[in-house]
This record gives sequence, structure tokens and C-alpha cells, in this order.
Amino acid sequence: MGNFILGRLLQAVLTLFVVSLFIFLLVRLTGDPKQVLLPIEASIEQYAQLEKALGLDDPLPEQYVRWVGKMLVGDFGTSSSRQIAVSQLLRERFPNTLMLAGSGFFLAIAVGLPLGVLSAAHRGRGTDVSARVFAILGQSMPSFWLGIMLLMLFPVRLGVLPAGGKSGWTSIILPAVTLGWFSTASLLRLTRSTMMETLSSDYVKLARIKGLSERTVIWKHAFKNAALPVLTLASLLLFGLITGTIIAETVFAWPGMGSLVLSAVVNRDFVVVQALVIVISAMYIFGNLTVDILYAFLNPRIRYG
Amino acid sequence: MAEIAAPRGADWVEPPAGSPAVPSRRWWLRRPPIIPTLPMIMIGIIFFAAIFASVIAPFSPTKNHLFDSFTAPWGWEGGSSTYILGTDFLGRDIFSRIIHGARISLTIAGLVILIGASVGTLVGIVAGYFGGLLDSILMRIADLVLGIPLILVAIVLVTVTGASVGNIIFIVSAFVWPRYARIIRSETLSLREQDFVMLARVAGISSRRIMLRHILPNVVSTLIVLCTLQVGQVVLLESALSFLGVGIPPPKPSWGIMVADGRTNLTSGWWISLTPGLAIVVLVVSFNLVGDWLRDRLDPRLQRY
Amino acid sequence: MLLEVKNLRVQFDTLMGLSSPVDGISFSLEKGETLGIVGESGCGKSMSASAILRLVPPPGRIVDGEVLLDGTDLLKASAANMRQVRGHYMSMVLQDPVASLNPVFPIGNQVAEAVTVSQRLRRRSLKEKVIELLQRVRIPSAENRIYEYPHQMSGGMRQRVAGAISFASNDLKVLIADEPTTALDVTVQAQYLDLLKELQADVGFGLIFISHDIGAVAELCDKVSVMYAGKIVETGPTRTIINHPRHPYTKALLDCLPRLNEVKRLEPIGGEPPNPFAFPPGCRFAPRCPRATELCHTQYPDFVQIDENHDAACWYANES
Repeated sequence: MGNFILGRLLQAVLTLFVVSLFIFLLVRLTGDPKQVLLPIEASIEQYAQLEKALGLDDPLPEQYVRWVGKMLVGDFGTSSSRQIAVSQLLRERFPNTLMLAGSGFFLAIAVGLPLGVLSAAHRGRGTDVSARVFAILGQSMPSFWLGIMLLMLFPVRLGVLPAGGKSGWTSIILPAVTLGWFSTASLLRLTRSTMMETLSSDYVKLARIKGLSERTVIWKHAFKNAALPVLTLASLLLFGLITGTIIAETVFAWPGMGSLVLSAVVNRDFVVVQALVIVISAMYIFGNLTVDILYAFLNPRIRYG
Repeated sequence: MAEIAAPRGADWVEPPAGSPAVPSRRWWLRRPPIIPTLPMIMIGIIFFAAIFASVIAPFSPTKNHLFDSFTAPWGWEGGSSTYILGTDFLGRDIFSRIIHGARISLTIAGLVILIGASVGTLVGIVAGYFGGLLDSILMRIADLVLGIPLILVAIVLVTVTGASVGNIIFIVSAFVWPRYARIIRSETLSLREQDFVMLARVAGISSRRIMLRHILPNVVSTLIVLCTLQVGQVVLLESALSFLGVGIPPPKPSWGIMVADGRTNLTSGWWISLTPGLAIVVLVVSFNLVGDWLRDRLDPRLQRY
Repeated sequence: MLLEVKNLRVQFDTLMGLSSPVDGISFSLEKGETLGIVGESGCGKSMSASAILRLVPPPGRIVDGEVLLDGTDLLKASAANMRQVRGHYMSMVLQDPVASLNPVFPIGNQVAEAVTVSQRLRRRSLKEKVIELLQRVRIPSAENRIYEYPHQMSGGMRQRVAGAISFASNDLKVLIADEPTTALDVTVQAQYLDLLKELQADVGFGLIFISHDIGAVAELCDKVSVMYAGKIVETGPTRTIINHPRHPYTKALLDCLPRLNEVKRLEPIGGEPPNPFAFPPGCRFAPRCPRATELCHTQYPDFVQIDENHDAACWYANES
């Protein structure tokens, strides 16, 4: 168990290293980093300043270590389009993104999981059929389109719910639905298929032979086994949430890290882009790590293996 | 023995009256199943439209008709039969753009899957067949790539090098191959232990030949299922990236860009986002349904992917 | 009569059509008696067992018949009552010991669960009862093993644990053993059968022993029913069935067996069991039967009584 965690931890660090190296080299090798890092209208003094700050004449490994070292102590540089420290921006935006991602995740768990279990338990009946239609549609619907359709229906046509920004608790509803939709559908589908598998297993049959109530059979015996493979999907959910927050924040102008990174792309504010990419990647990678460790912890075959 | 009636074969066509009902299984009396017939027809139509786009489309997808901008679809107030699905803010014909968009989506999906499946299959078979250190290294790389948030890499790459079709194909393929590699590897692992491969090895056939002639043909059905299931995912990813402005560069008529175009004009032209989004949904649903059907037919063990 | 099954019929409505894996079977069981049900795999013997406990998996349904336990029809009981019946009076041992224990709970937990359905016990006495049950099925150092997970035990041990779960009730009346030894090594098989006999002598439950192993059936059972394609084709005391079979299918089954005391060629049964979605209209064994006549192919034979307890469903049962 200890070895397993250590191995996964090393892998996570390595992944983050590769991502940072990719960004670093991309900027250094595809031309003049000064042109990438500074806005077009920058003055000659700014160029000179940057050249000194980055130490562009030093060997690449030295530059990389310095760059990473600064980020590790929280110094992400200054935004060229907003003229404030990136760390300041991050402090403002991070809680908003976390709040949105959390709501989307909660929605997926609160709706997808129970619907998946019910769908499997009532297979072939009305609940099951409608849940499956929802799952197929949900997985095939681009979230950006869904977001725009919701925007058109509620704020534009019906005049209810705010169209964008962050104002009061109602403003999170539409972005959270947009974000959680795909994850809910995937979770429903996977829960259903693993539940079907466990419900037809011999140990569920034996549980029924014991005379246990249907509720105990489904939620204790079948669900606990189905939950393990479902957990492996959590990493996919995480991926969907990262992509999804960027899209939902853009569609609804939610003041989080996702909308910030895209506006930085438009403004060619590369200092902000690289900082956010590193931070969001780190969140994603360590989120995955947590899921893996949780999985190992819940699975007795690995725990005692 | 002559008086003993020979056992009769399958010539009980009609059960006599009074025996338990056996429903008629004559194929011409059976309705063709909705799945996969309907989605297959849809895929056929989309392919047809993509191939003959320049013949079918009434207008050039990039031609502006500024005097006719914001024309509603045919049948709505202000609509005309000239532009069946209406026009966008530059007066471009949405119907023509959707048809040409199908060509772009399918081309990109096809190329990405071709590259991703080839690389992934090669890596998977080599890793599974040789095992050992090579296997560990290749699979660590695959895990590492899966651990990187693709959308962020796309954002960085586009900020530095600008949006291009080459970029998006590179990025999405890089994301796709590890999935093939993992699944094909596990198939190869079990094939390697089977008698016919053992026999071939005993007979002194070269590893390359065994992989090509004995293992590859046995993973083909898995590959077909995977490729079909991946089309939807790749189309969704490509359109999401294009929507965010880090995918296909405008003015190419990508469905994702078309949805994005409608976002800024929600009050004056609700139809601009609606139909391109529906096109994505139809394409993705169709491929997912056919993929699921194929999987149940060819490779039920792939349940979870 | 402890258990009486009358005209039990299970139907599956699937995409490929309707099928009846259990098509109107009847048998009875006295207290302390052992009934063997034999037949090829797929003949419906396991499905019959599931049907008696009302555990037919969807999309299957019990469409006809009666299952009388001490005179009460279980098919008419409410779901809650049926759970009581399963927890208290009837139980089943499943084929595959590896699959019949839940991999995510310790085995003690799983046995305890079965105990609590029929008995209210305090924590300490519950633990004692679990250990006692495990000792009864001969699990060495049971008190240490209750915290183990199924994957930490061998196949034979798991089968015993599954057994302990099935015997957990104090007032067990009927036990159904569905090919309990198929997945075990030959040496362990014999031990397991001995255990089953011993427990039956102790508790006095009626045992339904389902198997395709006629050897095991001969050793264990008082009477035997032979099943083919969803129907019982011959039924009678074990000795009679083995020594004087009347149905050609029973004969064919016995001819497949190697015998120690005679040197004889083993005769495999020609042909294949019929497609369950299209049973032949007459005798279902007719297509494979060397003696089938026109009558056999067109009409299903009724049971012919040969002896007091010996019946066979064959048109020519009386012409040996």
C-alpha cells in the first residue's frame, strides 16, 4: 500500500514536470520568448527588463530551475494586460472556480449515481428507459451548446435567472447545470452497467437467499461492488470538469480561472496563461492521484494484496 | 435398424395448434431494429453530405451576404426559402456552412483516429507482446499523457503558435492514442498466452510476423468498436476547442465556431447556434449508438470504455 | 408432505423470442429426504432451483404452477413473507464458491448477516454463533478467519463459508444444493458431500441435490428426477433408476458413465439438446433418440407408471 502511494505520487510529480517542461520549452524554442511573453506594444525598456529578469543568456536548465523555483514560492510574474501580480489574480479567481466545479461534481453525484442504481434495479421499465435516453443524449451533447441553449431559454426568453457573472446564489445554477450535465450522464451510464453486472452475480443471489431486504441487497451488496469501477470513472469526471469549467465559465462569464485563461489567450497575456495552465494542471493531476489512492483504499484486494 | 426413424433436423417450421406459442421468427415479418438502423442511416446522410458538400450546398460556406444578415430560418417570421436554416451575422448561409462543417468534422475525426489508433495499436501490441521493461516504460508514458489536461495544452500551444488545423490534429491524436494502447495491450497479453501464438513461437516464427499475422487480426474487432466509439468523443473535443477559439481557425465553417458565433447574437438570432449544435448532437449520438451496438455484438468485454 | 412442486413453469421473454427453461415440472420432498435432480447443463435444473425460491433473474418470470411448503403456496406469498421463508425455512448452496461470496465484505460479516435475518442476537452471542457455524462446516481456527476477505481463502474454504451462510437458520426445512461440488477438486468434493450428509442427519432438513454427476447422486439421494429440456422425463427411487432405467434419455446418461466393475465402451449421446426457443412439438428427446417413431415426433408422452414410485415420460416405457 505504501509503495503504491509512493509510486503514484512520483508519477504525479513527473506528469507535472512534463507539463511545465512542455510550456517552458514551447516558449523558448518556438522563437523569441520576449515576443511571446510581452504584449506587442511593449517598449524597448520592457524588453530589456524582461531579458534581465529571465536571464535569457543563461543555459536552459538553469533558466528552467529558476522559473520553477519562482512558481513554487508563489511568484507567477505580472499580468501584462492587467498590470497586477498573477498570484493576486489567482487568489481572486480560484475560490470561484472551486465553487463552480464543486457544484457540478455534486450535481453529478447527487443525480447520476442514484439514477444509475434505480435504472439498473428497475431495468426495462419506464424509469430505466428514460434514464438511458437521458444518458445517451447527455453524453452526446456539447456542453457549450447546452450552455447557450439554457442561456437562450431562461434569461433571454423567460427572463428568469441571471445571464452571466456572479451575483447571488441563483447565478451559479445555469453554469453548474452546464458543467455537470455530461458528468451526470456518464456517471449514470457507468453506474447502470456495473450495477447490472453485480445484480446478476452469485453473491447478490446469495444475499437474496439469506432473506435480506431488497434495499440491503441493492445498496449494500450490489452497490458497494459497483462503486469500485464507478470510482475509476472519477478521473474521467475530473477531466470533464476541467474542460467543462473552462467552457461553462466562458459561456456564462463566470469570474473563475477558466474564463481568465481564455481572456488571457485573446489578450496574448502569456504570463497569465502559463501560470493558470500550471495551476489547473496541478489541480487535475493531484485530483487524479487522490482518486487512485481512494480506490486502492476502498478495494480490499489491493489493500491486503 | 431400418425401421427406426432417422432423427429429424430443424424442420419443425410450424408448431401444431395447442402447443406453447413460439413467435414467428421469419425475417420479413420482423421490423428492422431501430438501433442500429436509424443511426446508421443518419451516419450515411452525414457522410454523403460531407463528400458532396460543394454540390449540395447552395452557397459557398464563407461567402458573406451582408444585406441578408440575420435572416431567420424558412417558415419563421422574416425567413425565406433561399436560406433554409437562415443566415448568421455576416449573412452566410447556415445550411451550407453546416454541410461543409460536416466535411471538416469528419476529416479531422478520421485523421485523428487514424493516427491515434495506429500509434496506440503499435504501442499496445509491442508492449503486450514483449512485456518487461519496455512494457513498463511504454505504459508509464501512456499513463503520463492521460494525466495531462489536454484542453490546457491546446490553449498553450495555440497562444504560442496560433490556431491551425495541424495543431488540433496533433493535440487530439496525442490524447487519443494512450486509450488504444492500454486496451490493445491487455488484449495482446491474453492472446500471447494462447496456444496458437505459443505454437508459432515454438515453430520459430519471427516476433514481427507473429505480431502482424497472429495478434493484429485478433484485435481487429476491438479496434473497430473502439474507433466507432471514439468518433463521437473526437468530434465533441474538436468542436469544444474550436468553440473556445483554440481549435480550427475561422472563417472555416467548424460547427463549434458556428455555435460560438451565435453566442454574441442571442437576442437577434437564436437560430445561429441552434442548428450547428443539433448537427453535433445527431452525429455524436449516431456514432455512439452504433458503437455501443457493435461493442455488444463484437466485444462485450469492452463494457467500460 | 414437506415440499410439493406442481406444474412449475418459468418463461423468458427475450429479443430472440419466448423460451421456457422450466416447463411444467412437479416433484415432492419429505422431511429428511434427499431428492436428486440430474440432467445435462442447460436442461433447466438450476433454473428450477431458483424458481422454487422465487429468484428467477429478469427477464424470466414464473408463469404457472404451485410451490407448496407445508401446504402454503409460496408463489402467492408477499415479497416480505417470501424473504422470511428464505431467511428461516429454505436455503440454497450455489455452484461457484468464488462468486457467491461478496468480495468487499469480510466473511464473518456475511455469515452474521444471514444469522440476524432469522435470530435476534446481541453482539457477543452473534459473534459466537458465527464462529460456531463456521466450525460446523469444518473451518479450522474459525475465530481468526472471520475478519478475512473471500479472496484470502481457498476455493474449498469459500464453499464452506457459503455453506455456513446457507445453514445459518435454526429452523431450516429445505436446502437446495445447486451443483455444489462442480467447482471443487475431486478430493474436496467427497469431503463436502460427507459434510452435507452429516448436517442433514443433524438438522433433518429435506435436501434437493442438483447435479450432472450421477455418481454423487447415487451416493447421496433417496430418489432421483431426470430432467431434459425443461421437463422431468423420469422419476423414481435412486436404485431403481440406476439399475432399471426406462426412459431412453436416462439410459443414455447412464451409458456415458464409466463403471468400475464392467469393461464397456462409453456411449456418448448423439446430437445436441434442442434449441430452447423452438422445442420440438413431440417428445423433446425424439430428435436424439435411437428408437423414436412418428408418434414420438408429433405428440408429447404422458408419464407412464412403471412401479409404485417409478414413472417415465416415454411412449415405450413399458417395453423394456
